[in-house]
Amino acid sequence: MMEFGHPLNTLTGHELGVISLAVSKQAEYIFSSSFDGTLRKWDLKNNTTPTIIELENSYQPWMLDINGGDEVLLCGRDNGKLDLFGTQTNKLMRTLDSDAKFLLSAKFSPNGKLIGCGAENGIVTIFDVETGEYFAKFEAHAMGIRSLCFSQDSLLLLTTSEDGQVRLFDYHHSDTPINTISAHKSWVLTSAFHPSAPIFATGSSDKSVKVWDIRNFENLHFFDSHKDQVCDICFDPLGQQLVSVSDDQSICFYRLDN
Amino acid sequence: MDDLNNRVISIPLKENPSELVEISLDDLPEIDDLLDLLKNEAARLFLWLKLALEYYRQKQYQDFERILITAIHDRLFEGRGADDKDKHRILNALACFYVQLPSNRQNYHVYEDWNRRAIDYFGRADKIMSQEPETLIAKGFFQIRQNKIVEADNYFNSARKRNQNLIVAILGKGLTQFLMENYSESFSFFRQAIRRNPKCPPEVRLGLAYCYFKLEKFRMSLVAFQRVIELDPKNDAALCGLGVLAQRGYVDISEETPREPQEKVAMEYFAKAYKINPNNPMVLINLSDYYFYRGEQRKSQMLAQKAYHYTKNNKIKAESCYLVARSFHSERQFSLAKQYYQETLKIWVRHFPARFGLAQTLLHERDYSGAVQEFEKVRFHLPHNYETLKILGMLYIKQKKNEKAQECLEKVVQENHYDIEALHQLAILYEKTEREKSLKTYSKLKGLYEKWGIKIGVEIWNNIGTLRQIKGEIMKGANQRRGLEEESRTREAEKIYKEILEKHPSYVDCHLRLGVICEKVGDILEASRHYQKILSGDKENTSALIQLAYLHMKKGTQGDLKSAMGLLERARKDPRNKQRSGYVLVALGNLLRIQARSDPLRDITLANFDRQINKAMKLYKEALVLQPSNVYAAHGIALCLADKQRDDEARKIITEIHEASHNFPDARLTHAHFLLLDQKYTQAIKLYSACIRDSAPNAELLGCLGRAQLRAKTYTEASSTFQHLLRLDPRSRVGWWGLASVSRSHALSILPDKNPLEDRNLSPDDARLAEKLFQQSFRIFTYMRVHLDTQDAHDFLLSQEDQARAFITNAHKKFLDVQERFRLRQEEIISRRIRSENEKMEQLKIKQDLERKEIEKQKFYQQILIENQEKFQSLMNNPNNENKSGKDEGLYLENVDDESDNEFSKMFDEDNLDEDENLKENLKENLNENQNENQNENQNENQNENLNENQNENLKQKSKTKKSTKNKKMKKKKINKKNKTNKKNKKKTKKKPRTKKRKVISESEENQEEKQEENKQEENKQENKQEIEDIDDIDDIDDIDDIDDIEIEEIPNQENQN
Repeated sequence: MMEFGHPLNTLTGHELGVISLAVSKQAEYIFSSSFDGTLRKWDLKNNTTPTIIELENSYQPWMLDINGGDEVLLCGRDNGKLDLFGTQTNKLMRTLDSDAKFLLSAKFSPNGKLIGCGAENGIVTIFDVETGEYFAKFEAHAMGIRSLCFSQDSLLLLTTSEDGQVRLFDYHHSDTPINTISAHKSWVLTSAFHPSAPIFATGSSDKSVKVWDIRNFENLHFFDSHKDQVCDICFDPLGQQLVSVSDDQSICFYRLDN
Repeated sequence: MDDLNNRVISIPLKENPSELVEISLDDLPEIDDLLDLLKNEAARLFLWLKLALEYYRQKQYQDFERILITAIHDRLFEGRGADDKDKHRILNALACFYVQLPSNRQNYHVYEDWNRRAIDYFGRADKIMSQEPETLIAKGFFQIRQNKIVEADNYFNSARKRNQNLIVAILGKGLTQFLMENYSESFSFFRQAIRRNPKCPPEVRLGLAYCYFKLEKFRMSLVAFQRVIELDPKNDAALCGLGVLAQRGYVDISEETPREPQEKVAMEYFAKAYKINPNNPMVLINLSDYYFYRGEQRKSQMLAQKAYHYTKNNKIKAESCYLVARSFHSERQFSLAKQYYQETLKIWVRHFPARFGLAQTLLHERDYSGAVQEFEKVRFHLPHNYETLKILGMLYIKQKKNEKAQECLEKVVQENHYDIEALHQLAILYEKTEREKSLKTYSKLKGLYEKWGIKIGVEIWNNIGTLRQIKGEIMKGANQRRGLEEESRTREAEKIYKEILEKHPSYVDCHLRLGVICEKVGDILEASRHYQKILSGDKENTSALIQLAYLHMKKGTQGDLKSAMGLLERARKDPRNKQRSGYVLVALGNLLRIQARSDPLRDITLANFDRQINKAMKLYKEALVLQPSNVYAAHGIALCLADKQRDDEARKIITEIHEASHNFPDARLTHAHFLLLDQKYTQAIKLYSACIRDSAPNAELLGCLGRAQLRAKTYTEASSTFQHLLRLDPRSRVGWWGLASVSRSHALSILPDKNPLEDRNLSPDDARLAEKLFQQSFRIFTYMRVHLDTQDAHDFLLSQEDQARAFITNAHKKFLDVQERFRLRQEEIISRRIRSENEKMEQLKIKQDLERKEIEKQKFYQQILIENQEKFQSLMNNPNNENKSGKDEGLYLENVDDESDNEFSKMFDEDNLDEDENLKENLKENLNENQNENQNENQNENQNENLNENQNENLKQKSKTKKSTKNKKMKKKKINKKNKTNKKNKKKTKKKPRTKKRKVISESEENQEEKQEENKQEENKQENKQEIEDIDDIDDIDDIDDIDDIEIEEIPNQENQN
């Protein structure tokens, strides 16, 4: 674990808690969704007041993600729909309908061609961004899908669920998982692929973070530094560090040697 | 003794000493004749002794005794001619005779008598000549007889001090050393004795043989015994020894290593010995043992009993006693066996086999604590005895002393790694405490079964599976290794179960476990399929019935509850499973309660509700009778009491349960609910937090916590709790409702009274915050209504109220703003007027017009305010007018059906949004106007400032005040009129429907909090609150006039002051 100094910038304005963040690749701007029902864009360069993005019918914005080219922001909605916004225009471009229930997780594939989203009833829907059609749709879990992520080559999809299980799909070819592991004792809230190595990490309500080998699903590391559930994890772009955030209000950095 | 070889003893005659009566030793005369002869001829004492010994040698022991006793009592024994040495020897011999006698007699009294006599004679001998080695030796043997080995040893030692060469003393030493279990010393003494006298009686060699035996040099022992037999073919002891050796496989001297036990040969030896001496206890014991194993219990018992009677040696006695007991034991005559075991132990405390047997008989009598005591005694001395440990282990399991059982069984397994039984029991024990170990043990067991080709019991598979599953749940790790182990336990278990099912497709437990796993993963359909499968095989399987019933109960629809009821009734009727009937009863009770509480007509059919609850309570009580420690049943009773509004009793029970078993989560939760009811918020929050900490992510618990925090008025915490909840369950009604309520309550807390107009001190900042919060809650309620499928009337009502409130606050805020601006503006005007005396009348007119406009605007806002107040009131009342018998849901549905047309959204759209925008526009216009005016005025001012400063001051003031007051009075009247009409309307609508409305609110609130233990007390509180608020309402309205008066009058006053 490393020690860091003070925060560079504190952005205030949301009246209630922040649900999800999406940061542009060069960290020029940040999108945030909050319980106050707003979706805001924060300009980090000029530090101006945030732009509140108009939401049709004042729905509750949920999970956010920006595609690799920083062009499109996706916002998961409560009724199984996904809104795509232009990151520059801040205008709604298109709405995709997964025909599922509440979308607990939504992500672009690294190549930017697909969007995967997981619903609270365990259904995973993958959209083709260009056509807006379903690329695949299958029941990945019986319980809500708390997170999903694509492998770096966009060929594999990892889903994590409230049943404590983690499943890996070769979604191009099959709806049945390549492998299932009961990774955690409690809900698996987050997952992330390493940018280069064949490993991935998961974080759970059981307060632990685990690192897995994708080839044999061997548990490589086990961290329990957090005192409360782990909300999110991510690898740094170079793959040298793993970062986890927890409800205990702390952020942990893990150095990855190999 | 010198004349041993002389086969004739000559007795000189009394009358004529030269004449001799020769007595042939080979043909001893009748004892009476001899005694007469000896008496008459006054034979010397040594002759008496010699003759007596001869009788002894020819085994005519009684004659020996008679001769010597006669000698002692004869006159000549005390006479002068008697040699002290002779006298000593006679006394000694007699004493020795008594010492050796008892060995083959039985009567204890006689034995005692002999001992007394021996002591007597020893004493007399000592009086004649003390410390004679012979006496010492004799005394030594006497001590041996009396089991005083150490004393005997001392006698032999002192005898040997006096005479090193006394072979008998050496033998004595050998004997004492033997008895003191110094076998090698004993052996060297015996060898010394034999070397000194190679022609010694064969019995001496027995000593050697025994020593060899004890030193476990069995071959040498065999040699020694055979030598004894060579010398004395009829030596029963040696035959017996040979028999024992044969039992150990030593038959032939030439064979270095022993053969298999030669029972037959041994038997022949014993039989031979028995023929020679039917009373040799050793032989008898061995024979008894032999017959015991042959199953001839009668014979065995007879022989052992005989041995018991014929032996004087305690150990042999104990042994024979034990043999009898054992024989009875095997015949299942437990009470007899017990008596004999006890007898054995009386004689020989450390006879462990006997103690073991005794414990077993106690076990048979179900005197477990007694048995455990006995077994523990055995274990104390033989800590590694495998059998004892095992039985103790099992006994402790039976007594539920798991720790001790575990300790014992662990040792058993140490002694014997392959004891399947012990391993199995141990695995079961570990299950409760150390699952890791349990799993290991099970795996080992599995390995053993596989190794030995025994079919593995499905139970074991099952347990392994379960354990892996549990382990998956419970494992807590701190390092990678443990993390590794944690992985995929559930999967593994599932796999194993499926494996089992392939082999045993109808194995019930497997389906059950798989069902539970499926349930956990959320696959309810699959879970119910597993349970159904069990029921298809075993229609009355209690576990499956209960599980299935719980599944239905989870779903919670009326139909599901009904089928759950059917299942549980089936389970209850099943007579087989008495152990689980408590469980079934509790489940039934729970179901009845759920049914009663979920009844939509619950409040209307109160009697029915009460009946249901009573029924549930009865079931819980039944369960409690069956299992007095069933916390679930106790908890159920408490809940029933709470349902029946017997809160104090319920609270008492819950507190008790909570205190007794802190880890019983249900009780803790209910306890927390009660604390909440009692308004002990901090404690409730603490308990809820503990519940949350100990459970998996649980939206329901977070909801409870949030509610508690809301009540405790810690708004920030409550807000974050509800947001936390929504992270878990984004569609949670409770979560959104909570979030909205927090905002609303917070806003209300900022506004000191219900009517913001009353408060003159409300700062615009506070008003702004309150407004923001109201808007927030209002937004959320709207969100809930539009985006969440389910929303009940309570929310609907609340959102109306909030909307109205938000609007009022908003309007008030604007009113305050306008007032402020108006005041500033007037001040400006006044100052300007003071400055510009020469202002034109046109300008004045324009200004007056502007002022009028301002006032009109203000009036307009006032009107809006009042209208809103009106609408607010009517909104609060409306639902009741339309909705008389709790049809709130219907109302709601209607409203939702035509969303755009419903009154609420109309109100919302027109009044709030449009009006709002209108207001905004107006404001903007005003601002612009004002700005323009200001600009114009400023220009004018600048021009005229200096000129007109003092001239017009008074004039303007007068005219201004007149006009403004006029306007204001006009306005006031209007307002008053409106208020009066409002009041009338309100009063008409208010009083009657209020009560109904309350009912609706309380009902819907109950729906909202259906899972909570909130009860009517609280509702009453709320009602009271409502009432108070209502009263405030009325006051507020009355006050409005005054406020207006005051506020409006204030302005002219200020002017005047200025």
